[in-house]
This record gives sequence, structure tokens and C-alpha cells, in this order.
Amino acid sequence: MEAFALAAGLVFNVETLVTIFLAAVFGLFVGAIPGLTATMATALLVPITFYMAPIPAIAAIISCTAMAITAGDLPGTLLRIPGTPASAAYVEDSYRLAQKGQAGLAIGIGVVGSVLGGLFGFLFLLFTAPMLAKAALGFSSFEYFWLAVLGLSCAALISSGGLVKGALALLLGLFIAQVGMDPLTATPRFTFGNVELMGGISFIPIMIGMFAVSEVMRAGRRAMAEVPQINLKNPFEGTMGALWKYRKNQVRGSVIGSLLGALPGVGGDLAAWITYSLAKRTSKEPEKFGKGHPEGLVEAGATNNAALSASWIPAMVFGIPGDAVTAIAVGVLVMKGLDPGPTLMTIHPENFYAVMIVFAIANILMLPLGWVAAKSARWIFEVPRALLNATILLFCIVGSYSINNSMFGVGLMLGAGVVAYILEARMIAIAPIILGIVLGPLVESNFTTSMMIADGNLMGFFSRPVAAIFGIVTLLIWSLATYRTIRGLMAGPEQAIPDAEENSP
Amino acid sequence: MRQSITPDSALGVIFALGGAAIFQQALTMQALPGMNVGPGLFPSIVGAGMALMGVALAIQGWIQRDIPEDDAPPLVTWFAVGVVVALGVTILAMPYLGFLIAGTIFSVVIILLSGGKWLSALIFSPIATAGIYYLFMSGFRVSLPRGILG
Repeated sequence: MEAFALAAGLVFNVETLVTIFLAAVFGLFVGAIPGLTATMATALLVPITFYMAPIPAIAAIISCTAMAITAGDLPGTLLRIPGTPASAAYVEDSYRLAQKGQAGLAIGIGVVGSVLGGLFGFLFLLFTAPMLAKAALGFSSFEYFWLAVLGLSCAALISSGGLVKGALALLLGLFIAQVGMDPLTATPRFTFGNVELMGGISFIPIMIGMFAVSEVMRAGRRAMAEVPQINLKNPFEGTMGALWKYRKNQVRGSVIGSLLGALPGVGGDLAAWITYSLAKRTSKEPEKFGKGHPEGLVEAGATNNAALSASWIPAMVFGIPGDAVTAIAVGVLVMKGLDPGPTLMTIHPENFYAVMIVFAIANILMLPLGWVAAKSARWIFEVPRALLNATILLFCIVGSYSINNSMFGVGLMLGAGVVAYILEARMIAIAPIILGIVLGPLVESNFTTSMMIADGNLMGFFSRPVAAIFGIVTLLIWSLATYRTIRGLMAGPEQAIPDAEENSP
Repeated sequence: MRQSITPDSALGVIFALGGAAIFQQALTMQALPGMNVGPGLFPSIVGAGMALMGVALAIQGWIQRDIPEDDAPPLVTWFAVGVVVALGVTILAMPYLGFLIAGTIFSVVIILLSGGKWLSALIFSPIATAGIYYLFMSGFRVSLPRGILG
């Protein structure tokens, strides 16, 4: 109780509350603009959080992400351009509803459903995280090594390009993490005598380059879609009736979203596709799906934000992020000295509860801000893309420069942007690279420690029961994925196209 | 038309060579006396994995060479090249010109590249650059290069 009171003090002050509000408005603006993503909003925000106290910094990330994901429903509903991969699952229904003159209902379901789903995910996180943390206190370097490798494996294997491309992205991230001084012996690695590389490569310019610069390069000259002429006098019209009618879908979407979101690498994107198809399969009116029916919208919308909250479980409990956004957040937590992991909940529980309170505030704030965003969508869509590009790139330059007050960071950002632009064109996902960079030091330090304890014997990695289970699961996942890829290639080139594409828009 | 080398195969070869170079470099890193692990152990695993997966990607690309690809937008566009060149020139020029001048010129170039008009570029760029400059200088105490403005 004392920890909770301390946490309330950390959150309910002018600095944190103003930060939450401003980050939410920023996330809302970026998320609502077609072609700009929640990850990009978060990446652009990180350099600013560098100068904040720990709790406002993490509060900014949480509220910005939650709002950007919810605002991603706006271009989906009004322009048929999904703001996030998750909202692509139900974009047909929300767009058709808007075409029938029910844009308010579609946006209302998206916003209110997301708030309810997000709050459910928050409760799930609040109750499960401390329990898992107690169990995690008994973990040694063996368990942490396997857990990190398992999380990285899931992220790489589930990425859109398939096993080989996902693994290459992950290995590239792990390599970037090794540049600099070896933590054990202080031997310079891959620095080529460059003093700036001795301290290692900061993930911030890399992340800005990969998520912001490459995105501007890819979509920067694409013309903005036509501004819709849809009457949005009451953005939430009829929402409560629809949510009540489909309350079972709302609850099921929230539960499944929370469970799937907690799995590393899955996140809200895949979860929303799964629950949309589940809603269709179990519906009494499946023929109406994709033609402007609210049922799938309710279920997948709830899943979206429930998964977003739950995706913080592995990040907070074990310090192992499951997707790009939580990887960025873990990077910020580490940068701020709030080492994510079981000790966050045992030694400094006030910080954990403060983060929980921020989750609740960010979700509740979506209601008024979502309403305002829906009302002002027309103006947001009218912001000239040319001016937006210039502003984003200026922020990228300053953000990358400010990490070490050096142009070297800006050069890294440019290099990372070009690499990401090329890799994404060949369907090599960027998220595993960022996860590799963030988790690289953790994986290596636990691997080295375990090797020393086991005296170089690899069987030592399976000597403890929990470590053995994690290890066997990881090896099984890789074996199965390898088998399926080889079988696909042997069956013929057409069969070898990655399975993950089946789930993509 | 059958391609002799697909983009995936080419990328696979680049990754394989990169992985081999990492592996070779890692082997030169010696462990301290009396220790069974050294600074090169983990990088050698990563390098070997990258080389192996690079070869796998090259083979996969070769097997799939007959599959027609979706009409993807071209990789090299004038806009993308323009952004890279503008950023590169700004990186070189900013220490001499300072953020305010280099940032304004950069912003004008990007707006024009993005299809914006001269007038809006000339009005917007100095305002946006100055706004960001003062936000970071005053708000976050970031010392941005002043260049010739001293």
C-alpha cells in the first residue's frame, strides 16, 4: 500500500501529467496520419525522453503508443488506409460502415473498444506480473539466457519474411549490439580504431533511422489520400448499443488479446487477425463480415489494445521485450536506470505501480482525445506531406545528434535508414533487428556467465529444470520452423513463400 | 523471364560474406589466460549464424527465382536518393554552417523534393528549424552546432 501511495505521488504531479497529455496528443497526430506508424511516433519521442525523469519518460512512451495505435483506426475508417497492421484486420468493416454513413459508430467502437480492451489488459498485467516476478527471482543466468533466446526466436520466426529473413534480421541486431568494448575483458570489438565506436552503438539513432528515415524515404512522396466528405457530428454515435450487443465479443477479444499479447513476438498485430477470424467463424451472420458489420470490429478492436498492455508483461517481468515498441521502452527503462526485470517489482515496486497507473490514465485519456481526433480528422489529413517530411527529418537529425552531441549519431541514423529501406523492400523485418540490439548485451552476458559456470560444457545449459524446458522449447521451435521451410522448398518454389504472409493484410 | 541472380540471392551473398568476415575477426580475439570464454566467442557464433543464414537466403532466392513478384514500387527512386544525399550533405555541412542555416536549407530541399511549393518551403523552413532549435537548446539544453553564426 505504501508503494502504491509512492507510485501515485510519482504520477500525479504536473510534470508527469502534462507529459502524458502531450505525448498522447503527439501519438494521436502521428497515428492518425496515413503512412505514419505508432513505432515511428515512439522512435521520434525517445530522444526527448532522454531529458526527462524516469517516470515521465516511460509515461510518454506508454501514452504515445497507446494513442497512436488507437488513432490508427481513423485513416482506416475514413480513408481505407489502416494505420497499423492490427487495424488492417478490420479495415474493410470499419470503412464500409463509414460509407453507410456510420463513421461515428465505426470510430466509436474502435476507440471505446480499445479503452475497454486496454483496461482489461492493464488489469491482467497488474495481477500477473508480480506473480511471474516472484517466480523469476529464482532464475539464474541459464534461465535468462534461454528466455531471451526464446523471445528473440519468436520475434524472428513470426516476422513477415519467414525463418531465414527473420533470423538474418535478428543476427544483424545481435552483431550491432557487439560493437564496442567487450564487457568482460574491455577488448575493442569491430571498432576499427574509431573512438566513437568504442562506447558501442546507441540504439536510439539506429531506431530513428530504421523506423523514421526509412519510412519517409519509402512513403514520403506518396500523395495524401482524398479527404473524406463524411459527416462526423457525433463521433461515438450508437457505440454503447453496439458494444452491449456484442459484449461477448468484447470480453473474448480482451481475454485472447491479453493472453496472446503476453507471448513474445506475437503482439497485437497477429492477435487482432486471429480474433477477427474467430469472430467470423462463431458469428450467426458471418456473411456480413467485410461488408460493414460491427461484430468483428468490436472483437478485434478490443484485442488490439488488450494485447498492447499485455505485451508489457515479458518486458516488465523479465526485461525481455516482445516487439519493437516494448523493445524501445525497455531501452528507455535501462537508460533511466529502472532496470526492467523481477527486481523492478520487488526492490522498487513504486516504479512498477507508477507504470501501471500511467497505463490506466493513458487508456482513459483515449476517450476524450479519441473524440477530438475523430472530429478533427479532416484537418489532420490535410496537413501537407511535404512540410511533415521536413519536420520529421529535422527531428530525426536533432534527436540522433543529441544522444552524444555529435554528428556521428546522425551518420549512424542515415546508415541505419538506408539499410532498413533496402531490407524492408526485400521483406526483412526491422523489429527483430531492434530486439537484437536491445537484448544483445543481456543474451551475451548471460551466455558468457553460463559458459563460465558450466566450465564450457554446453549440456550445463540444460542442467536446471526450468532452463531445460525453455531450452527444449526454443530448440523445438527452431527445428519445426526449419523443417517447414525445407519441406516447403522441396515441395516446389510456390510452396516456399513464407507462411507468415497468410496472416498479413 | 528467368533471372540469373535474384535480389534475395544477392542479399544472401552479402550477408554470407559479412558473416564470414565477422567470424574471421572474432577468431582473432583471444581469451584471457585461464578463462574458458573470450570476447570473440559470442561474435563468432553470430558471425557463423549470419554466414549460414546468408547462404540459406541465397539458395532460397535461387529456388524461388521463377516465382513472379508482386508489383512492388521500385527500390531506387529519385525521392529516396534525394533524401539520402540531402542528409549526407547536411551531416558534412552542419558543423561549418550550424544547425540554423544547414537545417533551413535541408528543410527547403526536402519540401521541394516532396512536391511542396517554393513559397511554403521558404516560409515554413526557417520557422520550423528555429522552433526545433530553441526547443532543444532551451528546453533540453542540447548544444546544437552554431557554425558560422558563432
